[in-house]
Amino acid sequence: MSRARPILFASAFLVAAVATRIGWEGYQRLAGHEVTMSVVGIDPFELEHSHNSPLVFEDLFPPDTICPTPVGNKDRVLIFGGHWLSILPVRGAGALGDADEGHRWQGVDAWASGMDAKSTGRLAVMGTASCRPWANGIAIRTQIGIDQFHATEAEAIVIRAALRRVYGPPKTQAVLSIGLDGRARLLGLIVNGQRIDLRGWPRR
Amino acid sequence: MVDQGIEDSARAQGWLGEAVPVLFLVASVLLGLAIAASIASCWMGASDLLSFGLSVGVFAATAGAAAWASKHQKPFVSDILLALASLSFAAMLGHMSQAFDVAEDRSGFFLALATGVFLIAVSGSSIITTISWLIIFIISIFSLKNDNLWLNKFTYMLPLLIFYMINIFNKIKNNLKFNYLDIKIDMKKTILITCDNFLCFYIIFFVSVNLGVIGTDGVNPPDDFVSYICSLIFMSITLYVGLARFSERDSNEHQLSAAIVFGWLGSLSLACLLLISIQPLDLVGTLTLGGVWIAEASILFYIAFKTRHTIGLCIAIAAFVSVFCAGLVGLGLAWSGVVAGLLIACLLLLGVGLVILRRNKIMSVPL
Repeated sequence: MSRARPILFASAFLVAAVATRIGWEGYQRLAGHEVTMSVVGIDPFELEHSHNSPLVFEDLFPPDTICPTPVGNKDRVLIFGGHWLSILPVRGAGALGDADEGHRWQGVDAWASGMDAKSTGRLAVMGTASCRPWANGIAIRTQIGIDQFHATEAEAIVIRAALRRVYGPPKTQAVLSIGLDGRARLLGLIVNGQRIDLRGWPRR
Repeated sequence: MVDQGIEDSARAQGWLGEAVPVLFLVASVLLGLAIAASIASCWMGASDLLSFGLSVGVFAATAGAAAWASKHQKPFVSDILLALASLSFAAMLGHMSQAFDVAEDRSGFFLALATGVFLIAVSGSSIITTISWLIIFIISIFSLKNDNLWLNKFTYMLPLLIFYMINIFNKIKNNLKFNYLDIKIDMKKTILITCDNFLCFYIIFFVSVNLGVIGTDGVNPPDDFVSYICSLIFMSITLYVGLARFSERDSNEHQLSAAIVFGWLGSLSLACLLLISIQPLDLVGTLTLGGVWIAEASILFYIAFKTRHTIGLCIAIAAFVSVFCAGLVGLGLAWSGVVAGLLIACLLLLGVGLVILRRNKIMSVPL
């Protein structure tokens, strides 16, 4: 029995689905709200070799802060159970003493649904957050569906140069677009004060 | 006496001929990987839209060729082209996720890929693509994050899985056999062996996780109760499948026992592949693991050759090819080098297949 027609329909459907997804992502990227969040873990070695680097959304806070809910196992606690976070701009110096970093966003509450998260009037993003004690305070780690990024050869060179520019631990932030659907999309990085836009389509 | 000798020889050649579809299939997989690698190599130079158009074009061409082959009653050619189309789809999706920065989550990529390959498999009734789908589906489950979204994501695939299983059981019930180049491949055995491989693979993964070798977050072993329960269920199913196969009465018992050996050794090969890809090893570690891998594949090949077991041979060749591909990537070659290596291996396999086909024709000429 000939399966020509189902094969052609399935292929056309897949191509259409992929094209639609690209269009949708582009729209969400353009229409989203731009925020910056602290990140760690950019690996220059990985960038050089595979052009991929891990990205961990972690913000360090000074000693006088404590984890919001001291429950959970081991040394990490989940802030709350939900899969939506409402985020707010956090002002002031981080634990690394980078006063110029000043304006960055951080998850403050977790909610079970997007509706709940948005009802607070704050910006809502899909993800979870956990808190752990750190030598000089606490570290809040946010998981918003981005755990790595890909850079082109040219972008990788710029990022590596920016990482090398300052002696000591680099101050890195991610520039994100929080779409109307609540998903975070990576637009670029701010490495030691230098903004580097990553390839994406369409560009802002 | 002479006639008997010729007959034996012809039978032996005939068995070797059964390996031809396997060789062609592996060659097509290598060609697909070469296509993906060559698209990847163009990414840096070409514009996003151009390279995306190229990957869509390759996918459309392979799928169109598969449809043409299906229309002209060439099921084996259609099946191989569908396998190639699946790989082209993977390349297209991979390109989309990088160039357009869409699938930022790895598990999302594999779920999308699994859904696409499932559609291709169902549309073409292709057993090879179905096996590919099973592989990708299992990988997508492994790549899920260790949080409560695990079940949400699994239930996303559940309707597809149920639909597919009903289809498979229906085919097994009707004892449907697939016919490739006059070779009858038993659907039931193929599915059982494939499932067994992946279930064993799952157990190896589970044990590794619990020994702390691999943590799903890269640091800690998971403390998810659901994963333990699922592992127990998978272990029970594996035992059941193994027992069912032992109790199966077949005219050729040693083939069945060989199939179990293939299952376990094949799974070990896949586990090695996983370990290599997850944990970056030093040179000594890579060489040791590669050596074990090659030794294992050689044992598989020997057993398959001795027992004249086509599926075993398929796993052995796949193991050789995977160690070859891992070596190509591990050597840190440029993309062009990887493409050249894959194409050479592809041509080599095609050449061997054609030689066997030619010899088969000569041997089957009545003297």
